[in-house]
Amino acid sequence: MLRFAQSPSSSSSSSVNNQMDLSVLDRKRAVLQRLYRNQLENEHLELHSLIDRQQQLVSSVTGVPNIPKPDWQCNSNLAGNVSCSSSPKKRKAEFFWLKLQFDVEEAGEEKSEITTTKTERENSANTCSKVSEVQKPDYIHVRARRGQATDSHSLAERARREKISKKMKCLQDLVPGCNKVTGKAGMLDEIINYVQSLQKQVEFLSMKLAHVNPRLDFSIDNIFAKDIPVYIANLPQFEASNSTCFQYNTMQQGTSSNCGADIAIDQSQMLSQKTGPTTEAFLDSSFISQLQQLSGWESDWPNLFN
Amino acid sequence: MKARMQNSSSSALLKQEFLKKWINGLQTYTNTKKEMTILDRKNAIKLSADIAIASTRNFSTNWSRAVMADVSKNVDGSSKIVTEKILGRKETCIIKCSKNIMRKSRLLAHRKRAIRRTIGRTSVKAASAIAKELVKKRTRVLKRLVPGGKQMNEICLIKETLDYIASLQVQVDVMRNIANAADQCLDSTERSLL
Repeated sequence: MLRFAQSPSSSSSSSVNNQMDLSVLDRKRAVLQRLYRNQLENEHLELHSLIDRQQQLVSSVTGVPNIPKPDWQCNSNLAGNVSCSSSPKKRKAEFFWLKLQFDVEEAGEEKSEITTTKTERENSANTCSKVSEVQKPDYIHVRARRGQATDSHSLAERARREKISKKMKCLQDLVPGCNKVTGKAGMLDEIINYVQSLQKQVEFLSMKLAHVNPRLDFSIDNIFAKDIPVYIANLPQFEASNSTCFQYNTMQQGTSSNCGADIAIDQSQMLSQKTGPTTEAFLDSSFISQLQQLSGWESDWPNLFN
Repeated sequence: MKARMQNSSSSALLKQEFLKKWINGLQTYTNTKKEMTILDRKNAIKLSADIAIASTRNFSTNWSRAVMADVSKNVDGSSKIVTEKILGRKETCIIKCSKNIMRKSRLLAHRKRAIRRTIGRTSVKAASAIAKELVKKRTRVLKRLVPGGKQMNEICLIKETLDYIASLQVQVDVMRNIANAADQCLDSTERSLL
């Protein structure tokens, strides 16, 4: 119960203190490496002692089936300098003891020795790694989640993976159609397709604009025909711009231009009648006037009428 | 809902900024008297749009710096003028510095990659390994797509794609609106001729 209750807090703390974790983890890694080296030395000693004990037992077991347990207990105490919780060690020791008995009864003595030593080594390593983190006093205590390793490497990896999954969730919101796909590979595929389609759209739109505008002039007035008050206010400019647009058109089509004031007025009427599909939020009249000031279209007008 | 409203207002500001810079950049071409082919025009439009959208990020992201570094690499007179027009004199110096930074990071990435290759490759065909291969392949493709993506690790890459996708959306939106409006204008003038 206790462990389960602590797991969410550990997850939240890990997500919040991601930055801290990494520097902390570096320290931990160095410390644990040192610890491992020490433990390996200890384990060697343990194993030697165990092998000696086992040999003694094997030699004496043929005569006596039941060997008193205290022998194993002192063995576990020998190894107890590393582990604080001796109960798992005891259990392992009991298991070995039983296994040894069984093997000896089967009369495969040397084999049993080897197997027990191997299993002993593995299990001791496991217990050491699981237990040592809680044991040593001046290191950072990390409460691992249930069923997950507490290795510094795996902690760092887990932090990294959580970062990546967080970012992928943000991407899911941004890219349309990503909600149905789960897993990294599928989402990456969608993202790639979307980016490619956006880039192609940019190409296509720039081609279209190049086609529409032969002289690369984007005169704002004639393009955005929605704001009628703006046009009424800037009517002379509007007429001029319309006629220039008309001129460009004729350049495209190769006909002579007959721009007169009445034609311009007709055009303005037509444009005001034609309603655009959507209201563009970023194009209000103040912005348009700003743009006009910025681009200084007024200075260009005399050039355009040549 | 509130977040979306905020998002739309901030994106509207972004669109305004982009449009201003873009038109500013296009002005450099209006003064040239020579005739431009349609391809030239398209390249000019695209170039100024790219520079404009990259500059809206104020060089805080990796991809915008990569875009500017690429642009300044092509020692084309017009592109230099356009960048100067959009950004101003001060920031062209920043571009030169960023070019050096990109070059150095590229060299470092090459060395890292060489080291990684020498560490052996295992060919275990488990399901998880296949999935990992897929993910790796696709991240490689994504690195090619996002400008400046070759020298980024996974976490940075995902952050950059987020930003890049948002900016691309803004760019496409603005360009589409202008193209539609210009189309309408053209249609109306054509009709009036008939």
